[in-house]
Amino acid sequence: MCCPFVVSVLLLWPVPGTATVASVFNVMPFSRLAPAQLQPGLCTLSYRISTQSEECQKFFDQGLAYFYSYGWTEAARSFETAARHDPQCAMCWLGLSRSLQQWGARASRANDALKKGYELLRYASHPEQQLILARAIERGIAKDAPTDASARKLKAQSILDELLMLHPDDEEAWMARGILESNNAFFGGKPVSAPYYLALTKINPVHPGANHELLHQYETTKRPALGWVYSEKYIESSPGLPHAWHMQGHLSTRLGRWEHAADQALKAIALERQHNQKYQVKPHEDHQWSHHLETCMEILTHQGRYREARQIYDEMRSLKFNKPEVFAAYFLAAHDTVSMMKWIEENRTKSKYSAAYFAALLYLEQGDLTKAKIEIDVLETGLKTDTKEIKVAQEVKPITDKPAEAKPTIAKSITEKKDETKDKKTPETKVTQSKDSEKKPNADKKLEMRYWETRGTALCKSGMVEQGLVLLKKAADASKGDYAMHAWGHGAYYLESWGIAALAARNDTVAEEAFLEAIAHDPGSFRGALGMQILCERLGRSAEAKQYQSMAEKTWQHADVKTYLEAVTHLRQLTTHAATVSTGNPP
Amino acid sequence: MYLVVCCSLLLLPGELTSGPQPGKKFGPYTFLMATGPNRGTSHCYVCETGDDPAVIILARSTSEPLGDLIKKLDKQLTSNSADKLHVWVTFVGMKQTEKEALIVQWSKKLGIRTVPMGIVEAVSGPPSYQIHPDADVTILLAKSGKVVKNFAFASQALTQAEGKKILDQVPALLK
Repeated sequence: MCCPFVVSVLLLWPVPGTATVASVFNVMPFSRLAPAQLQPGLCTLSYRISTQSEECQKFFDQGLAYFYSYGWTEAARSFETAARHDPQCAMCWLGLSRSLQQWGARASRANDALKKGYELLRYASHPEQQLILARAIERGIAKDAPTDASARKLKAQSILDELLMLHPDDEEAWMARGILESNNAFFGGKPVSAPYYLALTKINPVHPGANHELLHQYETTKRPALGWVYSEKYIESSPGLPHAWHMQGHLSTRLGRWEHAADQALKAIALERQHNQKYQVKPHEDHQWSHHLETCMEILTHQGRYREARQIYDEMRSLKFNKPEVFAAYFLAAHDTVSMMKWIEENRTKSKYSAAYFAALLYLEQGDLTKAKIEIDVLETGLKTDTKEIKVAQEVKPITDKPAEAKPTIAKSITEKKDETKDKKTPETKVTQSKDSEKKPNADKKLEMRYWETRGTALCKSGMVEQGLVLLKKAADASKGDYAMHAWGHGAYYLESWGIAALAARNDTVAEEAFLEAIAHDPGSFRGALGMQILCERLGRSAEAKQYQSMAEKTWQHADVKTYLEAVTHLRQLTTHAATVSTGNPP
Repeated sequence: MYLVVCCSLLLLPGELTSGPQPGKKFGPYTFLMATGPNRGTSHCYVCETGDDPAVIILARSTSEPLGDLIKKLDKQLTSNSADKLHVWVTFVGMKQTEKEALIVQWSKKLGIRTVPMGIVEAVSGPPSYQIHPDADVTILLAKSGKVVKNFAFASQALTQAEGKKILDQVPALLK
């Protein structure tokens, strides 16, 4: 019998995914979550396991659906619920173990869950036994598991290879083999895993795991056009999972298909809102929510859809998701000066270079060169002396800024490092880590480009056009080959800034070069097209001007008319006044 | 529609104005590569070419004469690699997701070794090129960042003989 105090605490304690007070007392031991509810229409995937319980099978399939969409929490919840429906279901424990392993908060229970599955081996079919055995050996919990991690991996590989020879249509075996090849790294893993995923798509063209991994693989290897077909199949397999819709944006933004990216991003968050409301999922329980909202906001800002971007911003604030630079880029683009000023003051102490950069852009736009210069000097000082903030930002960013999806390579390296440290804490690992920490941070490059951009713009505005354009070109050139630059709302930002400064300075040759480069690097570059339109109008090339006008209109086809007209007016004014700031999405 | 088709068939080589004209610069553009080492990427060959000589083929469809021309250019590329000649084929106005596989197959069928092929989805081709809607094939011979010769052909107007005329111009480009 519980005392009244305990009861009242429990009543006030919200349990993830629960709809009723009764379920507070129904928390499952491994995931510490309330049991799952069946959610029809999530995913087409079904992997027949050796159970006679229909409910167990359904929850197992639901677990797989979430697992292959990196919804670790919900996957764990579904697998543990499946095990409740058939306590002898060894595969349910394997699924639970793998989910807990990925879901950092409960990783400590992953091996315990696997042990349960291992103990239940005799109730499993032969292929299931091999899947569990391979994992148990790899994790070192099987009886005859070698002590050396690499030997364990080899043995696990050989078990799975044999299983694939006996059952070449076993979809879980193909996935397990591919994942193992990359040392359990997701987000595409290493290229060596790709053949396994490709083979699986021949057996099941709409396997969500294989398609999701391949999508990441092609994104990471900088061949987004090849990943497209897998993003389509991933959506086809998982129409009820927000992440499947979101993922196409990873490729769309890199291919200049911005409106498509916006459609899919909006679809993803609409599904997520609906799902999280229905199942009362708290913001912190859905680790993809923040990232989905953030990317949607970036894409909408790029597309001039400021009203919708504002709605996402408000939603993020209400959910207590904070993505400072995404917010700042939006304020600047939408000419929300009050919010921008507030943001700058709030971020002065937390991130002084970021605050200085956005302040410089704002003051340059306002034509206040004196104030802008103070901010640019801060950036310059940062480049010369203080890299502490940069290093901290770099360390924190993968976790707080874009946790998993936005930075696949970083996320992958984290997963790999985590795995490495668990399996072998050798001096070799320590040496590698210390070498990494000595590398010049990428953030240095970012700061450098921001400095070139703001200093260059300031010089142009001060009449030192030639020197200013040289600096702006430097930033533009540095951004051209930067694969990451062309996604997440940044598009061809520095190329556009360079073109706009040249346009304002009436250096038509440079302006044309810059705008054409902007369009070449981002076929969805609104400012590139608009810049070319205005330039061609000025030069009397009316047929071309019309072509670029229609290109600009198409690019911003869903922007508010008012926003569109303001952007056109703003850029036109630059040809008569010497203001030289682009208001795209600063990276 | 019938009239348009008939009219376009009646167009003779030299009567179509399509793409940047001789003496003009040709702007940079990226396209989605279907073949070659940059397959799957959005790549800018103009950016790589600089002042080197180049043969740029912009086509709306595949055809036997076009295939023959590409094969001969490909042979020239592989046999005279020191000439710094750049050749690439951009298919215009095609949906990448629908046509990419066909281009890969066609390139394989032709036995192409070096000439890369890809797609620009816009009907008018690369932004600054203004490819004529009736131009099935537009070929630019370029050097020092400028167009030297421009050939535009309506549907079925590119023949083996016309292809030879173009090939005959290439040695001058390499001088």
